[in-house]
Amino acid sequence: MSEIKRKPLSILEIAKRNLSHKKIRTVIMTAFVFILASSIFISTILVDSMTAGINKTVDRIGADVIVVPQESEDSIRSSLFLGNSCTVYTDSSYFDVIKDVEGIEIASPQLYLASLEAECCGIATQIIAFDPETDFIVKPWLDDIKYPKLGYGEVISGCEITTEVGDYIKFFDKEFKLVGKLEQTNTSYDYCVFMDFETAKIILNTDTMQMIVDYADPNSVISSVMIRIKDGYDPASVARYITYKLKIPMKAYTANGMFAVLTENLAQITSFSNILNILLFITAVLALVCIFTITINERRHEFGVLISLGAKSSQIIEMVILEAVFIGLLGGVISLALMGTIVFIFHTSLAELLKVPYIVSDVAVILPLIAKCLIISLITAVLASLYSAIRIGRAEPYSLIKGDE
Amino acid sequence: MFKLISSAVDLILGLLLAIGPWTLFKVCGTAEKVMKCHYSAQAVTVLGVVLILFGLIRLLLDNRKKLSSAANSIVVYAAAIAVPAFVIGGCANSAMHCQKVAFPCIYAICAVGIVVQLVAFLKARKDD
Amino acid sequence: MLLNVEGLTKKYVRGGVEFAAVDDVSFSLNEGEFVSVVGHSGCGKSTLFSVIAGLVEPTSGKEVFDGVEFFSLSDNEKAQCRNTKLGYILQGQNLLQNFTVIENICMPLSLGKTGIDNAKIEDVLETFGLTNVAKEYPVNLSGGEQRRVSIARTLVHSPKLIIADEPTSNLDPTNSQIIIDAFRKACREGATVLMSSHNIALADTADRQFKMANGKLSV
Repeated sequence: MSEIKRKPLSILEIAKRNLSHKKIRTVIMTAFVFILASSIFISTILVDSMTAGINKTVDRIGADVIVVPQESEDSIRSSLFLGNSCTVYTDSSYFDVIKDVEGIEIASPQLYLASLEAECCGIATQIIAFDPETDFIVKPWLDDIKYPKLGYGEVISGCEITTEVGDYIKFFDKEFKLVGKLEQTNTSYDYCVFMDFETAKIILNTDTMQMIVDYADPNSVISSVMIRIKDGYDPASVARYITYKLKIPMKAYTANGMFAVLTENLAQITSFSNILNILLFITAVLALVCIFTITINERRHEFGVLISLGAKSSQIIEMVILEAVFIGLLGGVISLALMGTIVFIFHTSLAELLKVPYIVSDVAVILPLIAKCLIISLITAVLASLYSAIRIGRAEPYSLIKGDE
Repeated sequence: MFKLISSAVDLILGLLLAIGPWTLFKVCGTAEKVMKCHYSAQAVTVLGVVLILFGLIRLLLDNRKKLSSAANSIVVYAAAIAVPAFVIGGCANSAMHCQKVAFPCIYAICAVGIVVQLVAFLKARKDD
Repeated sequence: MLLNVEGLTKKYVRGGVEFAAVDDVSFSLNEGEFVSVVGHSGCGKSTLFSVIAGLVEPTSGKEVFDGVEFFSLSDNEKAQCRNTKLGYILQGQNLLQNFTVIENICMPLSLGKTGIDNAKIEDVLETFGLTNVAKEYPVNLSGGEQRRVSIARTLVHSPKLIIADEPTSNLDPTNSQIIIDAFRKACREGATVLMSSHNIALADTADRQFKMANGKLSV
């Protein structure tokens, strides 16, 4: 036999070998860590996505108070938050009643219309008409792209609309020139088309829209009123006044109040997910403690042999903990790779399934989350092994050799 | 045993890639207009058929040739990712069915295939 | 004198009754000696050997090994001793199943972080007829091969004292002879062998024989 070049095996290599030769045991232990890390990753992504979606939407709205027709609150909320297009309308005369309420600095009407599929490969789009004279919601977003003033028949769109700037986009068989696109907002605005009320009348006067909008004068409809409150006035009080004192079939919400239902749901989901994660952590630790205890007990003779060969108790403890570290890392890395890939590939479908505007994918959010999940995986595995490791390290070598428990 | 597994994986995933874009995870329809995603699906179908053939051939190969065979499969899976991702592409709107469902499924299938064939490649190299 | 043991006692409690597994044992060993201990099962041979090797604390007694008060050493120092000057061959099957023959043999060197002398390893493999199975795992070896690996593992770091607990039990004469020859060779090179055996004929080949019964040793 040619020379056998050997290097001494390190405790690390001994630990790795022990794991690789007991594959079923290693797989089972890794599975517990996998489940824990996956749960933390997915639940955090979900909660963060919902939180970011709500915060961005509330920030983006820009209004202190939103007034909507009484029966249309859900539709408007769904449109603002999820981008589900809707057609909502009420009499524009209510705007004149609302705008004079004390405490209002500026009020601006908006009109929400849902297009049919614009072209064969388009999807239903939310059209938002605004009044350029009074608007303070849409214009700040448009200022960034330095667009020329919207002319008659001209529209601006969100970044997800496929039509190129300068081309024409068709709604209800009418063509509108796209003169600008917003940058990505990660809100429903990415799927919206904006026009002024004069241009919106082109749509309102089509046969199709006249069938949908059941009004004597389709040109006198609005969907909502966006309100900025004067300094020193409480938005909630103004909203209550509009809702209960004005005797019009409209309801007013503060920006946060509009999404109060979502915020409450989010708080519930966050609580459930935290409780679930804690329970999973405890379960994983207990399960791993049991498995470690049983398997370490079975290996008493093996440890006794190692000690008889000159292993120190610190080396035995190190070996057991290193095995735990490998299991924690393995479970954590596999989980994060798999879950991260699934989230990355299926993020659009997941957002739709979970009813959030989008799934967070910022590196600034994802990397710390990955680190957190890995650390928790490691801590779980190492904690679970500590008791067994210390017991074995302190056991009398002769009792280990005999296999006494 | 692993030779059977890696061949079976190519057979099954190849079949999924060949018929999936027309059945389980369809691309956008062609009723009004034929769009880019349709052509991407056609290309992926061809690559799926190639993988089925690779799977069948691998069952007959000896160890040494399994090395290059697994590497070939990896290349085909990578091509099946590249075609819808940037070579041909699909609909521009991310809410369209091809971008939301069909292409992600293709990416997921190919990712699984790459991982399995990479393990097969490393195992064949070790056995060699 | 390599090893001097005085008044070594190890007591246990069984069924509420105290008994001495090792009872006031005293003896000494010189360099290059081959000594056998004969006794029935349960007479205390394994316990005595474990106490000498530092694997169990004695109830009382003294041991001086290579000029050092052995029981005053820390656990780590005793471990280092087992790694360098002392080689302990356990009774029965005691190979590490997850490691190949060659890795088992080199394990004391790995644990002690000592360098590996490849020439020495090859010599050990050849001495015990293990060259062809060097890369096999213990599960693929016969009982005789496994035992030879166990012995080879103990000799690889050239210990001064080799303690062997029933090294030839359940082995055929050929394998037994290989092991005894290896011990003899070690003794010629200056090592001391303390071996226990049921086999009186084999025990008689040693330079000295001790008899053990009910924990007591007669030299």
